[in-house]
Amino acid sequence: MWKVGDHVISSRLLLGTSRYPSLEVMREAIEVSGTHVITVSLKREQFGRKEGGPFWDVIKQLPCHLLPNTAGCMNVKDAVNMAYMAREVFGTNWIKLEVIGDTYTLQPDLFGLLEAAKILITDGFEVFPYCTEDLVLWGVDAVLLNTAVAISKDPVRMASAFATAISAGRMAYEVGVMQERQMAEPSTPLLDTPFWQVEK
Amino acid sequence: MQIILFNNVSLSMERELTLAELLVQQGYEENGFAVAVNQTFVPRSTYASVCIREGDKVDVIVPMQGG
Repeated sequence: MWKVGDHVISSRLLLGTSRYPSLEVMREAIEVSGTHVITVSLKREQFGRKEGGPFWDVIKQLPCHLLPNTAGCMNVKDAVNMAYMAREVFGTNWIKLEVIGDTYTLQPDLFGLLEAAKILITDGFEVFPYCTEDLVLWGVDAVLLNTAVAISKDPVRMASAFATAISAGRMAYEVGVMQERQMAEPSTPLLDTPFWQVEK
Repeated sequence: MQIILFNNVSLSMERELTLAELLVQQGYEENGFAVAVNQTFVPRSTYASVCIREGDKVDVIVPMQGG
């Protein structure tokens, strides 16, 4: 169990909802993964079409917390605006805050990220920052992924595989790993090895 | 005649409308969307008091899949 804001969550896998072959496969992968948090996003509707409906109909049936993102935002103003819109649409103060600094590598603009985070936290948001590993030197509480599941050959089974792997990793961490060694040591005791008795 | 951009398409209005009136005219009467006017978020509670004028850019923002 881990605590995020005022929520206690058991699964340490957070799963994205993008790039699945169909909404049905997405729904099944989410259910099989056991995740309690799924990421979602926003877009401008195309004129004359009501596009958000089918996705929203599936998502609201799932027993998951929604984590909206600010994907595609290249500056503080856009990211903050998108966060406000996400809060109104999805009814959550959680935001996966992305301020992209480079569209080729998708590296974040860390200065913009911090500036946007300050604004949003002051206004009551729980910010999940999209940042590079230099800001997470303290370790990680959970794993958020999307594409590795969604575009695998079998997203449902891959969701199960990641869920199992993350659960195993967490259990091993909690148990505590062995002390690091500089040299090899045989795991089989060598005392009374039969071949020691053979004379040459 | 007032020309605006609604979801990136030109739209003619016979007169200035409030955002609430425009949204109803365009079939947006339920929840499940947010609105930006000139790329700035407009809270739902203010739709009736926001006036849409010539040249304004109104975007309706809806849920979609995201990672």
